[in-house]
Amino acid sequence: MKNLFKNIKKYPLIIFFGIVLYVVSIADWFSPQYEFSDLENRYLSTFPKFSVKALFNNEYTPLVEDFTEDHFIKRNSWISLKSISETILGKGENNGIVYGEDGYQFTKVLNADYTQRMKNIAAIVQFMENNPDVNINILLAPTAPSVMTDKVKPGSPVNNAEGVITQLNEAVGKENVVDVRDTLKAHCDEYIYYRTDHHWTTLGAYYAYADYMTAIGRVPQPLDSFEFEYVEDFLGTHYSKSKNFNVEADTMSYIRNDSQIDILGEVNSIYDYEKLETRDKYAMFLRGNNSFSSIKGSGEGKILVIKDSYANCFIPFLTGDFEQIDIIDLRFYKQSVKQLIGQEGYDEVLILYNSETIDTDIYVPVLNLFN
Amino acid sequence: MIFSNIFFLFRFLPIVLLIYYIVPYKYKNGIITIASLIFYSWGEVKYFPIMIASTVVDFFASRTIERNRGNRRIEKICLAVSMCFNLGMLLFFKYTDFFIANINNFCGTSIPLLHITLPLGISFYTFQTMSYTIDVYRGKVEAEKNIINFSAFVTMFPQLIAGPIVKYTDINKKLNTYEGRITLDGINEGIRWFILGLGKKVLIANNVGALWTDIETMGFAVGTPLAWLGIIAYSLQIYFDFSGYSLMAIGLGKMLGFDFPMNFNLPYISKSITEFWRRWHITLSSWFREYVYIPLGGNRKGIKRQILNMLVVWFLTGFWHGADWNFMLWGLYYFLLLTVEKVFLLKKLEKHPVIARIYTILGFVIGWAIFYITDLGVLGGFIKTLFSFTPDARFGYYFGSYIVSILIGILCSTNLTTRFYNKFKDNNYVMLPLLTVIFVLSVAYLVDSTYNPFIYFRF
Repeated sequence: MKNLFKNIKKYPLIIFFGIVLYVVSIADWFSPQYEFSDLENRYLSTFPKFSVKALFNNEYTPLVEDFTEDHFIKRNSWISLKSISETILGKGENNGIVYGEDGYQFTKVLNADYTQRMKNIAAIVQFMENNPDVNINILLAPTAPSVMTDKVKPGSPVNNAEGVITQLNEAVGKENVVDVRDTLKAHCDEYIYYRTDHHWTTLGAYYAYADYMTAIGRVPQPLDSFEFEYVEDFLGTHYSKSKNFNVEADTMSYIRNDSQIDILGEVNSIYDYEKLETRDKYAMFLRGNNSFSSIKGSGEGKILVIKDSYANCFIPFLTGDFEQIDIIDLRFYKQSVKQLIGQEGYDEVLILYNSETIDTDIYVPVLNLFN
Repeated sequence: MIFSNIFFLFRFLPIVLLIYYIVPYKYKNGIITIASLIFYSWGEVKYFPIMIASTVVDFFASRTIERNRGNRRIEKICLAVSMCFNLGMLLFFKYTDFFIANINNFCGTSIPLLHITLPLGISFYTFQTMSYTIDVYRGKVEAEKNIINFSAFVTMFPQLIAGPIVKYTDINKKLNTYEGRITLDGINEGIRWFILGLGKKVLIANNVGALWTDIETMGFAVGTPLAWLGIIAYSLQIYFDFSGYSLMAIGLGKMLGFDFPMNFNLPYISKSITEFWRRWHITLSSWFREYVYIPLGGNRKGIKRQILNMLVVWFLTGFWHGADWNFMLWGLYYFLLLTVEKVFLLKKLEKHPVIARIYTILGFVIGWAIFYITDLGVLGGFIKTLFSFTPDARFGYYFGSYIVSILIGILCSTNLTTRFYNKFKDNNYVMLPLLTVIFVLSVAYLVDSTYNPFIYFRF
């Protein structure tokens, strides 16, 4: 033993990596474990419950590995280190997020498979045939890279809305599609999309709102009639994945609006201001995504909005124009939309999705279910 | 479990090493066996009995041969039992569905597929146990008397699931050495190899491999420049992944006190395909040479017989890599190149070293396309793209994102790395910072891992 200690001095590698291995392992074992990662805006995995069945189905050990990775000591510093290394290597992306110019980040899309898009467009056509007596419009919000084309580095694998909107125009007829591409492109030097989040800004949503009102034969309220509020340090969904060390935070905006929203019987302000204190600030709008909710407005007529989260900052513009705004998220709504339309007698139905949702979302066909 | 994983690095490895180092020598092989069985079961607990059966069958087959030396009949029966068991398992688990699918295809039947998950590393350990019994049968080595020592050889976790293919004769002396098996020199070298291997796998292979995965997601429907960039990236990925994994295994072996054979020797600097295969996956090539090619007569029975022997070996080599037509095609492709080289090309290549290098690189790069793309129609299209010209708007993006990683990969494929290593391996002022950087970066990539594939699942 004495000999060993004498000899090992000649091997600094063994001493150093021996210490590193054991100190890090033991420190990691005793380091505090967090339920939620603020950086990644997600709940970290919990230690899996052992069962013989899970073990034999190979469902236990991979979760133990995930847990170890998720709770590894100084996880966030390791993530930043990787991001720095990737930047030095000149990587144009990290974890499925493609970097554009001026701090813009986009979702990486390689998809050459358009079967879900075709299914979704067919579902919309079917929905219009099933409900001939109500005025239905479809507004596909183009994703950021389709509008902010000068922020996209050439050849980047990102979503392009042109194809899906053209196909939709052909399938349902131009008169039922509110095509906001040109309007948004005309304003592309304004702050209409977040850099670190996949949504449009409230300003971007306003331009789409104005187009929509014109399309249904109403007059949109002017931009300066809305009072914008700003929230600094908004880091959105893209950043939650890319976690790039050199991020520039966004400024989130919302318009002043005192309307109340009724979510399955619970009535509250349409904005959840508490969310502004958290990472997930965009979730303030309409209090997140709910299966069915309803807003009492001060205008005339009833509208049904079938939507994804892009509509959440769009809908507050409608409260001055409609008396009742009902909102459905098909990912959670498990009842017949046709029956609802029959009961409520809406004047307008608006389907509002972003162009990428139509390419990938599997819940759009719920439009025609449960009838 | 794989080595390039936080759980392995900071849970399994420290615990196993600690126990292994502190227990008395007579228990060390037992510790290896237990640790290896946990390591193996971690990935696929259902196949635990296969591992046990593999150990027991060859142990007793060889013991029986040893006890009945001179009785040719019993010797032959025992050898046949071992061969049938090992090859039978390999055929059953790896190839059954392939045969069923093709019978269905050709005869129009619809026999349901079995959908068996391939037991991890089966292609590696069946070859190892088989070679052991053959060696005992040939009288090259005495049968192992201690089943614990033998199971330590079969299951030994560093080389269990992705090679190198360690033969019993490579490590039998160390297995039975108690005093002095472990040396500080060995541990020191093991640490160096392991970290370098980890870096090869995590920092180079994973980094360039992501590009090829994107191209696969695009259905290989890319323009010419992107196709070349992609297949170069894949060539680097498979080399750094596989040789990195082997290096980690060799390093872990050294830390446990064993000397595994080297598996790769800078294959991409070869000046002929013949040379390439002397440098690539050396333990597999030498296995086929020793247990198939030479018993068939090798090159001692005339050129025609030699070419036939090569055909058999390369067909088997291809098929060993995976149960699909493209792997057979890949084996036959190399058979063809090697035969042409043997007959006349090799002599000409020696006179033109530059052309020889270009030809060799082209040879194995096309080889990797055949190796990877299972659908023969898609493969044809991809190779056509390589040799025609269609532009690709996405090329600029991918070039910018990957060129640095690819250049690092190419640089590290040359003999600069070995020259550097041989010069500085004992200079701790160089090695300590270098290995620290590689280790820390590798951990960072593993913590935030989105792409860390295990690419030998078909072997």
